[in-house]
Amino acid sequence: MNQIGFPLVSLAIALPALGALLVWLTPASQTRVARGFAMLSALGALATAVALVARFDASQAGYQLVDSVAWVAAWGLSYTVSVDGISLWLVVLTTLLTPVSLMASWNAGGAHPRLQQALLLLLAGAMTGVFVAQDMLLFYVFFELTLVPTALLIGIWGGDDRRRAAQTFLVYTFAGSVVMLVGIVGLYQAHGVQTGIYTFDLATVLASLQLGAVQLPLETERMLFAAFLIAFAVKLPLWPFHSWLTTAHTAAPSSGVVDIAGMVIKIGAYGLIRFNVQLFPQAAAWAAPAIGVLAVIGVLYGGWIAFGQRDMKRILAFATVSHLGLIVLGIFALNPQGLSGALLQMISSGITTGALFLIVGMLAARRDSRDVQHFGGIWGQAPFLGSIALVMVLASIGLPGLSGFIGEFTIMLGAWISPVLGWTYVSIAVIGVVLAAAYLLRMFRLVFMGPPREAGAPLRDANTLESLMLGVLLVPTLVIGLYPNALLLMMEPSVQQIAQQIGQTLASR
Amino acid sequence: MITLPVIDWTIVAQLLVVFGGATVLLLLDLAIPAGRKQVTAYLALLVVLGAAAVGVMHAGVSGATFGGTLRLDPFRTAVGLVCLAAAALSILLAVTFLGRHQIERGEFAVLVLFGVGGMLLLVQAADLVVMFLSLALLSITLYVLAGFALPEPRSEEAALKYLLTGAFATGFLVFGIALIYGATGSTTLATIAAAGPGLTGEYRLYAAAGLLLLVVGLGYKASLVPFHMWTPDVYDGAPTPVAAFMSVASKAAVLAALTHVLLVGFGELRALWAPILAVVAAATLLVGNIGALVQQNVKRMLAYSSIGQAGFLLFGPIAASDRGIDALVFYLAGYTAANLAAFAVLIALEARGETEWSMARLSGLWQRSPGLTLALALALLSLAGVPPTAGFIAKFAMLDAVWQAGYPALVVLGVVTSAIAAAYYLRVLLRAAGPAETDAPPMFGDWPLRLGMALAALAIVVLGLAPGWLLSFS
Repeated sequence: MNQIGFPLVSLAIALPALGALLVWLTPASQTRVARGFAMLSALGALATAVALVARFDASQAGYQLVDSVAWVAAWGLSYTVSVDGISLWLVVLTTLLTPVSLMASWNAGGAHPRLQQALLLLLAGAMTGVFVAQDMLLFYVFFELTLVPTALLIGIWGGDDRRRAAQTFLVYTFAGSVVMLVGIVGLYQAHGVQTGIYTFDLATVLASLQLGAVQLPLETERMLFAAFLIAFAVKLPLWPFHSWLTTAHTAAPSSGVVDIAGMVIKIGAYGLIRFNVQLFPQAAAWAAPAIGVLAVIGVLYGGWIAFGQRDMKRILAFATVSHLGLIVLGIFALNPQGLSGALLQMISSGITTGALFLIVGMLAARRDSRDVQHFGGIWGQAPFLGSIALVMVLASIGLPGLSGFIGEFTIMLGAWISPVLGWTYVSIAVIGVVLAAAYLLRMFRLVFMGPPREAGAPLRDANTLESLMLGVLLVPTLVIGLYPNALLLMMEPSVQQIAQQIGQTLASR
Repeated sequence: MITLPVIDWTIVAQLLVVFGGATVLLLLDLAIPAGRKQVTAYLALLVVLGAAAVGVMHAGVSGATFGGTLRLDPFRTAVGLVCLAAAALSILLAVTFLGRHQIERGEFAVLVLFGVGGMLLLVQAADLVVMFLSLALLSITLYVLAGFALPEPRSEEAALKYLLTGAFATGFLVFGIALIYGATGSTTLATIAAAGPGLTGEYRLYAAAGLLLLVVGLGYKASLVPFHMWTPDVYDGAPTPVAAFMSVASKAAVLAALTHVLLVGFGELRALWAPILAVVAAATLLVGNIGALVQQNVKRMLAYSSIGQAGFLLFGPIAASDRGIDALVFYLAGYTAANLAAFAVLIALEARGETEWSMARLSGLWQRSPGLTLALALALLSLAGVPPTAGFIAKFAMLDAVWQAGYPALVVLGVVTSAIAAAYYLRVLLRAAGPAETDAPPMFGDWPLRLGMALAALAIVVLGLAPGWLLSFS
């Protein structure tokens, strides 16, 4: 039990899971009751996350509010969950997007609403688990647990190509993540052999590595680094592993429920920070230039392909690939600026891309198409949707004053001053930022501006539910943009600590 | 005059219950009228449960009897319990299946009893001759069971194929035992082990050759590559509950025997057999999983998948450590639960006269029966090793043990083949979650089948969430 004597972090995982169970048990005829259970549990999780923020001591760097129970004592495997400055805001993001995804699911209607909500809640619980697990094997458990609900959500409710897309998603990401198992086994055994303590506890392993109680030979460290890297690079996805993401986004239900619930939250990037950078700084510095090159290619490639797409979901999918390149660049700058920029960008891009996916879903439901050429001049008919879309587009391309700017800027700064990357990476990646402005504004212009292209009934503006969903996402977009310190302050100590450790490790060798 | 050795009855109690029960039941069955043969099955179930109760009572017992040819220790008790659980669940799955397929005969349950008795004997054996006898006993019952759907040509074909390859494998076993006896002068594992270090020159060669022949013979029974060819045909042709029983129980018993031969009898030759076994494990993993990937027939897919799983099971003896033994028992338990649950779903969907078990028949399953789909999902996720099921903990335990033993290449291969395996397991699952592609096949949901399926599914979850108690007994 932790210092406040209440398992707050566990509650954030358990509430959605409990909600899923209740929704599953509700008779099929009681749609409203099922919705009530689903929303209550999601809001409960959000409230828990807010309580976590309130309880969080921003002056400390380590893990806080730890809940720990032995799971397999003989192995040193435990259920240990907690938050630190890195995971705190990602938990908030997850719990914030869950009610929105539920509302999107109500709004879209569709078959088997109970199952869909139950799966969304399970996914939310698993996602939260990923961010708070401080035991390597527990992390893996949650990481894998996110796969099946996502695949089922695509496979049951998706578009024409859903079964193949769901299968591609599962096989690709499962194949990637099992490689992490090799890394976990290797690290666990190395720690056990060298210290005599067999444990999966991240804090213990990290401390042993930093204090030199466990010395990994250079080769071994790089191999373990690679095992984790493959898993997270596929999950992210880093170019050239991106094909599953664009397929999945395209085949996922048009309404955007899955995109926002499962794919805009970047657990791969979190994994890179938590495992690759924190545990293996030496290898991270060694590999950073190469990974930086892949990241920059991703930035350019995603932007370039997005520019040529007509399907709005594909535009956003490739935009995501581009954003992720930038995030990875920030992470492998290996300094506080890069890391906090990457974290901020993960949150900001989750919100803005998520909102854009929802808007595309709303438009698609109205006109039964996601092709930009089937739209045009609809701002006049749907002024609210148009305005929100513009804000989200501008936030996404990094307009100062909105959430995207500060993240992008800090990443660039971090990469520029980083000893392992440098200005060349930044000056090429900046082309991607220009591209982002081009393809997103192009999409906005084709869809919302100009003369109305299609005769027929005018397009309906957002209804109450839709306005509410988008309103919920608009608030953080503005808050982060105007006052990023709210987030940065809490991240600061943890980020500083990681960067400091990397600096020491690099300086000492 | 011959003096009989003192017999420790606690060690043979389980065997006595099973064989005594089977013999009595065979006679009793004569009095049970045709059409009421379910009674025999339930009585057999009682015998199995009784034997399991004896096993649980003797959980901590270690010892040997009959001149050291039979042994009991926690590992043997645990594997024996896995075999008994498999038998009990298989009887539950078969009870109404047999009637539905008009092959309901009292001998079925009795044969399962003799089969599981043979498995218990094989697990407890500490002597090559006893192993040979028990293997013959369990094989002969399985030959008959595989051909149990008598007028069905596929079932006959399965029985004949199994018989022929089995007879071939028996030949290897006999030659192996003869060579080992020639080299060491004994067939008891402990004596062989004691004689090991003193062997020189050609005697050492004979012992090693004998060991390899033994591994070949046991490899046939456990369907290790390259001795696996019979498996898909036999599983496909045999009545589905029999395939379920064979795929788990006999594999568990044979793996335990193989572990005893290698670790107890020939621990000293580990440098010889461990690399060979590692290559066999690698081949088994690759052939089994790649073979399963291309199947469209679900029963054949499960057959290939069981070959792939056997590759993982070999990690236990290769690791040759406490962790390896723990992992082996856990893997066997998790695999048994998952495979039986998967077969139970097939049984629930199998009407008389089905010849081809096409994957399309599972499509749209969850719209018709969420319960069956849940059982299938748990089974397939566990077989694929997705947390939080038993299969994940089992796979991790094996990978961990074999890494500790110094085979990181096997860890990588195990992970790669797990990824391949996920593709075909989850493909089935997505198909079941997708829309129906064919006319809905009939569903059968009688209570013994449901009970068996529910117990197997429950075991998958319980072992996955609370694995500690089964992971640390050695």
